[in-house]
Amino acid sequence: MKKIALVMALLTNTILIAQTDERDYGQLHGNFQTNLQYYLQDTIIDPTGEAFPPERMLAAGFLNLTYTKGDFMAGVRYENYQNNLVGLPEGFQGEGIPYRFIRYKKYGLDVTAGNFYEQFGSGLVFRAYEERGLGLDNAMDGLRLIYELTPGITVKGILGRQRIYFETGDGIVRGADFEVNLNELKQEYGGTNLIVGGSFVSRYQQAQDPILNLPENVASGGLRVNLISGRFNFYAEGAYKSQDPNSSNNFIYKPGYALYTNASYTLGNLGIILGYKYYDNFLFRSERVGSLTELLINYLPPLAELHTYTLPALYSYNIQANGETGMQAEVSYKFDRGTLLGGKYGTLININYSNSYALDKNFTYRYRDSAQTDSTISGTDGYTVGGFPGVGDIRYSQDFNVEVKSKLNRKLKGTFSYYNFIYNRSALLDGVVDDRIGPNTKIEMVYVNAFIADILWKIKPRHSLRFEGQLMLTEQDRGSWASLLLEYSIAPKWFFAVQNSYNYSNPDPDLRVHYPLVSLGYTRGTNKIQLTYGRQQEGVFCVGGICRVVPASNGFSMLITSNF
Amino acid sequence: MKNIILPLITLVLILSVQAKGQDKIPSIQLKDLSGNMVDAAALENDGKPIVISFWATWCKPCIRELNAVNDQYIDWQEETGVKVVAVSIDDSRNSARVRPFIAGQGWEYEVYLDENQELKRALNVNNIPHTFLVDGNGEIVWQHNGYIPGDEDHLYELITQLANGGSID
Repeated sequence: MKKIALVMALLTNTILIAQTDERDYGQLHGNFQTNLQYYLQDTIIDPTGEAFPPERMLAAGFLNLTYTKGDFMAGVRYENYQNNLVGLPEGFQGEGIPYRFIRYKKYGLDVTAGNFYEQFGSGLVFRAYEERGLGLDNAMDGLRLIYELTPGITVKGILGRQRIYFETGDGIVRGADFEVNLNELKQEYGGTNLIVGGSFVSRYQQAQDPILNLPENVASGGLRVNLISGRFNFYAEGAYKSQDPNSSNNFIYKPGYALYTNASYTLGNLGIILGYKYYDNFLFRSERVGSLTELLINYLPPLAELHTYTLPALYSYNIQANGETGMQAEVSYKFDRGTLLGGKYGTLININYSNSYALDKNFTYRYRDSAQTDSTISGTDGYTVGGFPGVGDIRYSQDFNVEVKSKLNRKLKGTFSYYNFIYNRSALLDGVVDDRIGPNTKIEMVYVNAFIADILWKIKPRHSLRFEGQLMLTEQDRGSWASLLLEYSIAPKWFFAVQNSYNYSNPDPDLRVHYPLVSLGYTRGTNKIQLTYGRQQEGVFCVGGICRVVPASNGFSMLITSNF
Repeated sequence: MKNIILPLITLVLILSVQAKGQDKIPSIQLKDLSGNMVDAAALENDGKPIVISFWATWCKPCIRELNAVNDQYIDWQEETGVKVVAVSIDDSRNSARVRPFIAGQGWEYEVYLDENQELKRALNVNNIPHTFLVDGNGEIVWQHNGYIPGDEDHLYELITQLANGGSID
């Protein structure tokens, strides 16, 4: 540690010198965020006090520092959790520097030593990334080499271990990727482009299981192709994973398969997308035992729209680790101004449909009921999947939504949307795995209809009022909700918002409560401070121009963000 | 661990009073909508200002901001020659939607994908929307986090100042 302090002190001196010297000593920049939350005990939304932290006040934050000079780059991130906010992974505790790296480029070779994030293709085989709002950070700690053999042919190699909270996982991860881009290879741009690529990742973790003969090396590989012409775009990636018995698949020996594909077509004002996904036993971690977002090596694109309005966000789709298949279709069209539907300024309409199903699995033995233990499945292949397309009987979700955007006059703009969800609460929220679902298992499906009006009124220059009215109707789960938001902003510094969500038809009359929330934000330059007071339900939360994921709570919170 | 904090803080303090200037866009690879690699450091606009805006298809305030700018973009271009570059941080969950999405919105911007947020990280962007203003010499002269309706008017004032040869404090 003392050595690091010395290096930092030296670096500090270098910067001091840089100030008095006209020569290029590079640039040093960073950002900072801290989030303090003071919790109030709320016996209505949390009667057992389960979500009320003993600390009463929790704080989490970080500071990033990046130094760049030409093709040289170095960075550190200091993180602190005293302790992590309610709803975010508790493994983040204390403080430290879990992220530091040095990167340079020389004659087409790009070298990173230390921590890095990287993605091969769409991420099916490998993706190291961070999602701060979710407490996800599976950064690699090791080496990365990127080499451009010739323009149009790029090779990547990675080696290292992954971050888990303030430590690194046991598994060693190594991988390689190549990509050939025909346009760049021929140095002829425009027209049709073909990009092909392939990737390979392997994990090593020592095995000492008394019963199972666990493979120490597990490999995964994929091939991808992307065809792009003026209007048309086609992407497909297929991947295979060798036997990987792990805690998420109950230690079965079946190999994994994944296919992700999408096609889009644009013509003038019209845009169409079609997508298809098939993921069979394809979750990959760098340790056999892990939960939630820990030590994920790959990323399975959910192929479902990400909703950010408070109420629809309550039924967000999560990928099902042990397998799923589904599709997505989207059409968007802009009615030109001056037409019947376009009105004076033009109208935009967007229709999106997606679904997800469990795979058609034939388990190698009877489905498990709660009386049986997990060991009945471990050590076998687990199941086989019926022939293509392998769609099972269990529906995970269906999402149909329509959004219409229109400018009513110079001062009024509106977005109106309709949502229809079918949501498998048992699987998506309660985590009931498909091999636990038998003919007599009760699956709780939620049928939702929701309407949202989002209207922006520019009162006068710099002053605006935004209104958001949401109504979400359902007879299942927590019942129906209504929500109103008023946001008054004075550009470029202030915003003030009041919001109330009312869970008016909760099956439990005691929970038919209001969730009022008041927030105030102030921006000066790149510094931003936001104060919030009230009750919050869980979901992706957007206010004052920023979106983030927040857990359910009651209390007072302060968020400070800054860039320098 | 405590030993490291003091120099770190010192460093930050010094930085905060450090003279500005020589802030360039770092050399990070972005993807254009034809799948070709583009070096962010090589973005240029013939000596005229560039606005770089980080957005995503799921980020409502980002779309509000880019739509507000798009309404006036033709006038902005005519008067100042400014170019707007929209960098999408959509990951593979949504990146396939970017092309049709832009067609639907009718945006005239140069659009790039930053699928694993490399440029976002290199520029120390916390949350989106986040907007940078780059002058004719390729130096970052201003940045702003979040979007409040009317912010585009302030941005345009700054662009005009730059286009008229002024500087921004």
